[in-house]
Amino acid sequence: MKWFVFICLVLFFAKAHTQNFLFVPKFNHQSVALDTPYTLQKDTLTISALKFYITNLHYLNKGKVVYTSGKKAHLVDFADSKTLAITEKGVFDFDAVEFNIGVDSLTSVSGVFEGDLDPANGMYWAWQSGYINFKLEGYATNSPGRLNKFIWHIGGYREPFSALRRIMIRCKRQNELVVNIQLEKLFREIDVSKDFNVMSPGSRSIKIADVLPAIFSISQ
Amino acid sequence: MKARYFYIAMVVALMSFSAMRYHKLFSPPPYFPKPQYNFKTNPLDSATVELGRALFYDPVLSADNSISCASCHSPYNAFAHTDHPLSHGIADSVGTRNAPALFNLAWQSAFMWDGGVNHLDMQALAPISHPKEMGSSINRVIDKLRKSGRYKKIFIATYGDSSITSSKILKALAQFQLTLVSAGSKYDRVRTGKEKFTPQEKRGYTLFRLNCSGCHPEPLFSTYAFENNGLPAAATLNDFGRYSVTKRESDKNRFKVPSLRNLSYTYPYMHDGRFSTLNQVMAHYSNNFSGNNSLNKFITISSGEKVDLISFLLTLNDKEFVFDKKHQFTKITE
Ligand code: HEC
Ligand code: HEC
Repeated sequence: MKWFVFICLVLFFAKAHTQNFLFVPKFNHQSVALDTPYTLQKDTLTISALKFYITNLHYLNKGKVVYTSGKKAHLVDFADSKTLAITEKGVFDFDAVEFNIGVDSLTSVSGVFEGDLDPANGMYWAWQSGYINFKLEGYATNSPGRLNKFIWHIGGYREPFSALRRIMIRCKRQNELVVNIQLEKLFREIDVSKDFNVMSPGSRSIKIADVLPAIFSISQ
Repeated sequence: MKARYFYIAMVVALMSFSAMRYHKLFSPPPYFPKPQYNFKTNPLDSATVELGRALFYDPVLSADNSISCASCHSPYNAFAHTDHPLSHGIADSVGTRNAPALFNLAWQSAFMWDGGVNHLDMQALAPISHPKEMGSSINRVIDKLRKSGRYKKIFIATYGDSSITSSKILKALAQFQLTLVSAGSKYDRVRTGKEKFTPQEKRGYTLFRLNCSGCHPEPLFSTYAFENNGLPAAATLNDFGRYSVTKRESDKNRFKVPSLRNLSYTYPYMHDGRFSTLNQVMAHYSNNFSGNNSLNKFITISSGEKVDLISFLLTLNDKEFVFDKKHQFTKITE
């Protein structure tokens, strides 16, 4: 009986004391569902795949790291709801979070890994080794691609074309941090009628990588 | 107290036993440099090497079960391919290249002629996924292996569990390839005092040291760096080598320096297989040597010297390696 109470207490605290990081893609404050058309300016956009790496997630308080996520690399895949949250066990005060969009160069040259970094996840380039940091695919009426398809595979770890971006976002402490991914910002900055097929490291990949930090924001 | 000594003795014995096994699988001569491969992340083990060997020779890795790694990397050619210079007309700029020989891979940190692949573990993903090579994908390979009763047993025997993952497949293939060490040529026997060069080979050795060892240094006979050896770019192929990886203008027409071991088995030569004999290679180096690189100088050798140089190059053939049964196809007993 004593043990039962103890276990219940542990379970209760464990539940209350988890910290969630939850990703929600948006078009102008509207949540995005896959394979659904949205109108944006003069374009109609459909997202068919959105996958990206979040790595080295840190929680900060007054500029100091107070918590380092136990999971070094997390692959978010909007086709798989299990991957949309990064959960930490523990309580800590924080006023900012910091993370990489993409996989760092040391990991990129260190051979094969399991789990989220498994090259079988479709986020690895076989002929020019390296992870795809951010993958967005879909259809845009303005894209000259076949069937109006656009494909953005953003990655590469070699300078001067390193596509890794680290960002810091200030936020209030909440047990569930909702991270909005404001996709409309990407389509405002990148002209899909020109850059509709970006599939290797290089200057076009960098142009898109440079916009990525601005599309992540936290609801207060 | 006694138990503790016993324990320590056991650990030491076990450690030396595994060191012995490691020694048997990978034992380069003492004059070889330190390997580049980080064995700590993938320690060699005889069962895993055997699994890698089975996979290397198994066409199950290709989409229609017709092509294995060995189709393009034959053990009798020091794991190169001699039939045709360009391994099956591949699309993109990465294709249309000569299948390189595979040996002493542990000393390399960049693979393919342009170094596009940055780790031996990751290399197999390239041929497996290339539509014109094996036309499969690592996921399809995993599915096929999971359905195979034979591999299920091998995976259990190797790893103690039957789960089949890309990491296990890739590491096993890497392990087999790491054991492909070529260090048994006449050159090596001369080096260890077991044999002597003929006067002609000796003259060739001197010429070699003078003209070639900047890019092809002993004992691996390559820096494995990217150089331009003055070959005019083949107009039809549109292949700029290292440039396609770095996009640096100065890397245009640089290719990874190949080792000069086992040349009698690895023809045709160069990234696009444009030369089929060593005489043609010599003619290139003595006539057209105009690479835009730091070692840029004209090599002037007489025709007699060419013969001497070739006779030295032939001492780098490693028959022991090429005909070593432990690298050849084997049927794994279930
Ligand atoms: C259709 C022919 C073909 C098949 C099948 C093939 N390869 Fe290759 N291999 C090549 C070619 C061509 C290259 C050089 C490619 C380049 O430089 O772009 C190469 C390069 C390599 C290299 C790099 C060697 C170096 O010195 O950089 C390794 C290692 C290798 N292959 C291993 C394998 C393995 C393992 C398999 C089976 C999973 C395999 N190959 C299947 C043709 C093939
Ligand atoms: C500037 C560096 C450099 C020097 C000096 C040099 N080589 Fe090379 N060598 C290369 C490179 C790079 C290649 C591959 C070129 C390619 O495929 O485009 C190569 C390829 C070869 C090959 C073909 C090997 C194969 O497997 O395809 C032979 C044989 C060779 N060199 C012999 C020599 C000899 C003999 C000398 C001295 C006379 C020499 N090299 C000097 C850089 C050099």
